[in-house]
Amino acid sequence: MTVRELLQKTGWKALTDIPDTAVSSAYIGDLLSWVMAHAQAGAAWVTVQAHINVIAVASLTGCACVIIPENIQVSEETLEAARSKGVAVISAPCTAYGAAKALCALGVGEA
Amino acid sequence: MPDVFRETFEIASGDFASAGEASAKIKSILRMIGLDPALTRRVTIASYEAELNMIIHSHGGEMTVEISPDAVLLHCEDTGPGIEDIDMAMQEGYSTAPFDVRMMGFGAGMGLPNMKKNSDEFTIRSDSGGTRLDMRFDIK
Repeated sequence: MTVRELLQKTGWKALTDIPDTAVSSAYIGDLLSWVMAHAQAGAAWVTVQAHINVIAVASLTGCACVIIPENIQVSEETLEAARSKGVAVISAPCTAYGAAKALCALGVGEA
Repeated sequence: MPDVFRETFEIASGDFASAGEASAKIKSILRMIGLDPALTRRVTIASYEAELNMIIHSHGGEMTVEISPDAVLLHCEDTGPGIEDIDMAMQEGYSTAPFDVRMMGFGAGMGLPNMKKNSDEFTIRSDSGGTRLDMRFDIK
């Protein structure tokens, strides 16, 4: 499963360019230190945090993409940082739980 | 190539927009020299926590990375105001971060414990003039 395929199958909205990177697991968390310590490279990271520091954490952990649930608005500053660091950001209309269910149905599991 | 590579990064107090930049540079240096990915991850986690701590809690400071054939060292030094109770600060979940910073997902009280957990040697000294952290990561 690649980020691009994930987007095609869920119909979620791409907020940045979407690469052909493989999604190897899923992770949900809003405490950035916790995510930094536990999310694995290749993870699709679901978080309600939509500020610029999410992009640094996603980049440092090597996340495949960031999924922002509940149509939470993502600032242009955050998206600019995402584009410059090559981090894929996706907006989903469902809750984090709904995103987890969708990822699970597509065969994306825990690391 | 010299025996020791050294680079210093300035960390400004309250500069959330640049948070993670120094750690990203350190990560890219470690990847460039072909360091083991698991060790690179440990150094990156520790440097990010140190960087964020300086941004959130200090008046600003410097983070220096030193790479020798047998270890990666991280030295962090800020100009205050210091940590009032280091034993408490070393406990997971203890945080003095303000509410607005916590709402951003910081201040979980994981910073210093994560640094200690991920390094092979960890020392901390602090007084009102500043905090000094030294971390060593062995290259095996």
